[in-house]
Amino acid sequence: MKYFIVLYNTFLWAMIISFIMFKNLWLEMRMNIGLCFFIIWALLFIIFIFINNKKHIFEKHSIFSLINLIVCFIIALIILSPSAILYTPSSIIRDGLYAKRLLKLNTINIALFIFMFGGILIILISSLNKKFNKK
Amino acid sequence: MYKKIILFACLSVMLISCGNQASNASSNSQLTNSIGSAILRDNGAEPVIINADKKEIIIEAIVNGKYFTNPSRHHGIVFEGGKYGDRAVLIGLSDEREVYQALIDIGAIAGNNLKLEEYTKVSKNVDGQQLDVYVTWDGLGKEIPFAEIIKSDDVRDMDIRFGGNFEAAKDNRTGCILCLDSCPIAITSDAAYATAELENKKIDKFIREDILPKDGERVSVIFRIK
Repeated sequence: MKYFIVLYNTFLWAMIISFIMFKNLWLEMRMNIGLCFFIIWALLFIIFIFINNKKHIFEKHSIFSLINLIVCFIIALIILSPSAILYTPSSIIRDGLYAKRLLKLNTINIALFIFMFGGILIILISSLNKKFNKK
Repeated sequence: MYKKIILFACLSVMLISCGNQASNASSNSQLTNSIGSAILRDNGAEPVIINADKKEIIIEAIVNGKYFTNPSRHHGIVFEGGKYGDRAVLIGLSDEREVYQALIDIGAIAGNNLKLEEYTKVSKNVDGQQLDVYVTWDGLGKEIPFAEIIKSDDVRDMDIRFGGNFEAAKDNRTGCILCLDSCPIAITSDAAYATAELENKKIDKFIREDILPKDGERVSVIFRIK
């Protein structure tokens, strides 16, 4: 489970970094922000798995992940406009996967929605399970 | 055990996407178009439809929903196999080098007046054959001028020219078929804006969600000699 928690939280951070890069039109015109997103996500994942193994920063992982999701959502709304939030994250992922013809933005939006809310649900449920098991 | 499998799968998706460059880069120099001219076309690219009588060519493109709400400052139509294939308001499905040959075949005269060194500063406007560019799609029943699918605070009459730039296009493989300001690499571009004008003056261009079909839908783009 700890791998999934790190994967989930680093996904949110990588997305925020990608949004900042995406809003820089000079970068957006010249670089594949989607590719940058996947590289940043992979790097953050490896770094935080390593850190977590030593310092257990995700000890209260359910509260941490929930707050992280809310904070990242608010930051995303500030960086992007509410209308752009429907297109930008999915277009970043599509560009990174080189799936222009294969995937429509709506399809990626559905997958993202399932990952974001399904992910936080899985984390919360596993945390509750742990508490019950301890009792 | 299953944790390791999940971890491996997730990392694989991340890393595969990093290395998943477009694999259709090979080209076949033996190909000819419907007129019989030798062309360069990447594998998987769709052929350009040439109508010499009407002096028009038609290419297929995909609506890029990213630019409904996010601005572009340069790329109008870019071939999907090109370097900037995912950064255009319309993703072209035909090879930009074939588009060049098709325009030559219908009698368009290339401008070839811009140099790559002028790319970063506001300097010259693209020259060449004036073209009318229209967009249409299944069920629409009419042609819409390309200018009407673009929205911007800076409104100028679009003046699309056959810039040519074949050598630059072939060397750089950006995929640019139509740029929204004068471009020394694109096959065609808008002479209403000088080189790098959109970026230097921070002029944003969006596509109109209220006119175009949804993201991912196919449209046909018609280039016709004026």
